[in-house]
Amino acid sequence: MYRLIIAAVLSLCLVLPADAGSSEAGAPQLPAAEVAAFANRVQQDLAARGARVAIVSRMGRDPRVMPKGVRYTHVSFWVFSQITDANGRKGTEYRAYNLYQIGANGTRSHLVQDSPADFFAGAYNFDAGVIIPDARLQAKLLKVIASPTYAKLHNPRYSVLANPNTTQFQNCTEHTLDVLMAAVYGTSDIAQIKANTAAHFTPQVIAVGGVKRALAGATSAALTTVDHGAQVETATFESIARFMKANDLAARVYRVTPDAVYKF
Amino acid sequence: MYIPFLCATALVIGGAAAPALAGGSAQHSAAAVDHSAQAAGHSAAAVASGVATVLAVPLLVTGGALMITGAALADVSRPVSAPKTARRVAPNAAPHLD
Repeated sequence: MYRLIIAAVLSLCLVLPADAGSSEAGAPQLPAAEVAAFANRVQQDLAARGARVAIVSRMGRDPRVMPKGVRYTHVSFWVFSQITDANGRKGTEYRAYNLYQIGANGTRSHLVQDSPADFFAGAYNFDAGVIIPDARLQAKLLKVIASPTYAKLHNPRYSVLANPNTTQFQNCTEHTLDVLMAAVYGTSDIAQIKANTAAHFTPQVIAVGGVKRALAGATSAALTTVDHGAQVETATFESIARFMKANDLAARVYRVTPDAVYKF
Repeated sequence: MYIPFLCATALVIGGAAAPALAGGSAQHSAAAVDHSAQAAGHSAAAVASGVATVLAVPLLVTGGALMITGAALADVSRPVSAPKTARRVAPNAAPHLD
């Protein structure tokens, strides 16, 4: 009997992952050489388009098991940078500015820069969502990313389904949105950023029923929804893309696969 | 008396909950167990090129063609800051670029 109880409890733990697919160096699911080739393809594509900063997303999970309307699990800014290695050699490539989920229970995050290959290391398949901001916005974003505001806007209390209209929790997508709003409105005031987000940004509604919601929160603190009202809404790559297109903030929004580029 | 019912309910609800959330289920959890080992392997692979980043500076100059001339590089952590509490403020107008 007790074995049955344990099995039941374990089954809940196993089916409700608290990892949103935005962990650093996620478990490799694809061959390293192919990951490196795809990462290079994405950054070569961005360079060819003259993008100095872009919003890039990866697919860390099988999209068939993702909530409706959500395909990408991790988002970060990619910044065209001059790199100096340990040997003093200089080069230019993109650097990914990430907020990664960490901790034994996944309820904390930290800000990490890594390479395009590191960014795609935990990808489920080779499919990148890309937003190239308007050139004027790129200049504003670069100023924010290079300033203390970038770190100031980080809230290390992580939730997979963080509400982008509040400051209680944050995930990678919400931090990206906060930085974006800081650049658009020229402010580092988080209260002003949240007020503008609530007024102008439409988050992705996540269909989570009452029972699932209660079970999720009980299974892992990273799956909490206490920062939400009756409806669970969170920032996603897709919702940021819609927001930027609707307000003429994006020059291009598209998907990159190993074989083609698709309009998003 | 209720235990079998609770177990069955938990199993059924658990199964039903998976698709609506982030997915991954047992396969993902199994992968998560050896996450550290795999991450360590990944780091080793990244370092195998003999290249480590010591500095990454955003290039702020506008105009001109962009060329990728770097290689796979290591991570640079950033400091964390305390969470902020929002106060009620009026929103600005809808965003627009000058």
